[in-house]
Amino acid sequence: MIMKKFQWAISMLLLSGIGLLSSCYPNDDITNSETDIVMTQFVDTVHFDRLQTYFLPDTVLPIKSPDDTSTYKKNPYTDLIISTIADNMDAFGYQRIMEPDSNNLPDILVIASSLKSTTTTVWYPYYPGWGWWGWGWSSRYYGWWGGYYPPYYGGPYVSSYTTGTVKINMTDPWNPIEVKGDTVMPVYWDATITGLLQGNLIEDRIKTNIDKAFDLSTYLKKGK
Amino acid sequence: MKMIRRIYLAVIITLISSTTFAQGSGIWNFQWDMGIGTGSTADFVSDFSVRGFAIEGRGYVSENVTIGGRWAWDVFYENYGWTSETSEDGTTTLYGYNRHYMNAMPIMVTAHYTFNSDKIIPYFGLGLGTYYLETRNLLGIYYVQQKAWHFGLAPEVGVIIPFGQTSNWGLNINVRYNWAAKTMETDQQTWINPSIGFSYYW
Repeated sequence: MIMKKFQWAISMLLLSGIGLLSSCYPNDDITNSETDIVMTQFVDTVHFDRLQTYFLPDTVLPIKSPDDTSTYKKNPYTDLIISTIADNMDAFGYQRIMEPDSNNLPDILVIASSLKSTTTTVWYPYYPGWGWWGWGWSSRYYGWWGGYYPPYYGGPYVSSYTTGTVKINMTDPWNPIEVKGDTVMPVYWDATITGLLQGNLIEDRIKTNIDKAFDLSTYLKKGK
Repeated sequence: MKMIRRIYLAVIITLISSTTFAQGSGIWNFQWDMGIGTGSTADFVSDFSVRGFAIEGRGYVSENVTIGGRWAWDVFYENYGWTSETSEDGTTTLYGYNRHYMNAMPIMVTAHYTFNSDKIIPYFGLGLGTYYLETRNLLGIYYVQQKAWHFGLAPEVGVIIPFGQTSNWGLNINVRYNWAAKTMETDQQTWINPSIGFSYYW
């Protein structure tokens, strides 16, 4: 009688638990484009209205650590990245110098670089434990038997994802600065674009996000 | 049967039936929690939540007073879509697909005063305990997360409507205000739970 009373309670508990387990982060699945992030930064003491000409190398440099000695592989989207940057700079009123020399130095140097990064996660859903010793009766062997049962691992499970990052730096190589003992080119403007490197729309996303980086940086247009 | 005996019989049967529901040893409540943020919680996630569940057990310590415990899980979610945020100094702008989540798990001791009757059973009460809160601010695949246990209080009012005089089950409708105090590293969170569910008297 008491158990019957609690059957309803237990049933409700179980049904609710099932719904509960799926409700933690609803609508967590997003499209590849929705993983894209654009970040821009600039130095607010720079007079962008005084900067008129630029040089943009036709190479997308790899972002590597100093210890990385791997062979450089050309970014497959190099032409798209360079042309999109150039289109936006031109639309903002900058003049591109294709072959700078000592008589025709650009005001700024625009550098594009990229990084491809793969993150791998490995997890085990069960603790391995130490296993257990068991005893039981087997009619087949007509006697007691015992044995060691090894732990059940139930894994591992592996997931990985690859992200692509493009950086655009507007630098001034003619006015280097000292930073912690090193002579570096100051960066007047930085745009970082990152997102999952998968799907069929990678080229569209690269162009859209570079355009967006410039849309967010209308201060670059000053005086032009 | 004479009229007076019928009346006596009716009164006795009614009293027995009403006590089946009006005053047992305790009450189990199973409820669907809805939620709406208030204050700074509404600034973080303002959409109405329909993802919530609560289990509560109450035991009578006197004719009208129950003491019990409550556990719940409320999920708040808001999709802000594509947003851009600029730093205070105006030099940094971040643009991306933005979503906010808040998972709230109250674990409380409760005390209620119940106005027993055979038709509807209003009550009011207070929960005292802790809230485990987990908030996530997602931009693309990246997020900033805060997790903390907060001290909390939850006053509530509600009513139980029995499914008949001989039934141990009833409909439970209530409204609760949740206050999770700020901690050293996280803000206070407040929200209102309108809830509906079932009560079981035993």
